[in-house]
Amino acid sequence: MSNSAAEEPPHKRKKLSLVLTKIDRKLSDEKMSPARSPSSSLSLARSPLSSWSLLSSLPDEMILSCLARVSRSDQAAMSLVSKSYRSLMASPELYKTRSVLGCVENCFICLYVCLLTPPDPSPRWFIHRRGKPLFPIPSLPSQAPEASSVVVLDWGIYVIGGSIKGRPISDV
Amino acid sequence: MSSNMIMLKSSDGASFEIEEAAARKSKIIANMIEVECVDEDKAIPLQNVTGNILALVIEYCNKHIVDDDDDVATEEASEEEEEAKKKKVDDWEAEFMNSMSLETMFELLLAANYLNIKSLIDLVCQTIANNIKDKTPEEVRKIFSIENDFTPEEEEEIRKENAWAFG
Repeated sequence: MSNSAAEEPPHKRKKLSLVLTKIDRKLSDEKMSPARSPSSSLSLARSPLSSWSLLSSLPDEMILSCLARVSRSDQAAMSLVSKSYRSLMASPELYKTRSVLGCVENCFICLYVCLLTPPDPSPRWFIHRRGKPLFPIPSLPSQAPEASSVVVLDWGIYVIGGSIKGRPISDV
Repeated sequence: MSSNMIMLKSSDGASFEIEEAAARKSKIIANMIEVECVDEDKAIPLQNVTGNILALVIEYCNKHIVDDDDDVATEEASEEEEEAKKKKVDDWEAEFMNSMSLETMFELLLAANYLNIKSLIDLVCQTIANNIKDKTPEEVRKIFSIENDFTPEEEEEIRKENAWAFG
């Protein structure tokens, strides 16, 4: 291949530099205009630069790529760092990046369990982490034992059906 | 193994010679080679990469091309040998990343992204993520010089919400 390259007529070389300029331009366009990418809906694109500091020098997808590798419990700490980080840590984009990278199994460092804990008459959801006591999830309503169906999908937990005050419901 | 050499030129005008096999770690450069638009006596200009960062990229590529050669040569290597080799690479990568500041890491990440070197992107992202591991929000703010824009009340509220992680 080296030989054929050396024998190439000059017009071909010109083409080379054209191709290169094109690639360069395409790449720098990608870097310069976050509006182009679907991740531009992220709050970080709109947030003031100061709150992003060092990380803000990276394109969105790179920030996501770094943060997606952070474990679930470290993500909780990250969401306390600043407002823009908080919305980023809860964003579907971050979950998608985690899925693509195969980092989702990190979630299993903590396990979501639903337990009936007498004397409490209804089962409750807990987060279980190895070596730590069960921690109740406060934001989920306690459920009647008549059983709601629960589906964990992407970044959300959906509670389907069940009953409220003894009356069966079909809400999600 | 081809020992073709390729010239790369950084944005600040520094030229580097690199083996084609190592340069192929970059998908962008590999594509250029495929479509035969790389000329032996003409350097490939990399407008987004400065010389000091390009030197790091080349160091990484050179190191990993040697490793790939090893893989071919010792196809039937025992499990222990495989493990020892993997450990050697991991150790080298750890030391390589350890030697640079966070700012350099970010620049290296941008360069790896620009040149499309997936394994280097993974390595740098993981290293940056490791910097966050087991840190308190205060420590993370300090590392990345992030300004805290929560009111104390808001912060308390979120802390409660995420209490499971801080227990």
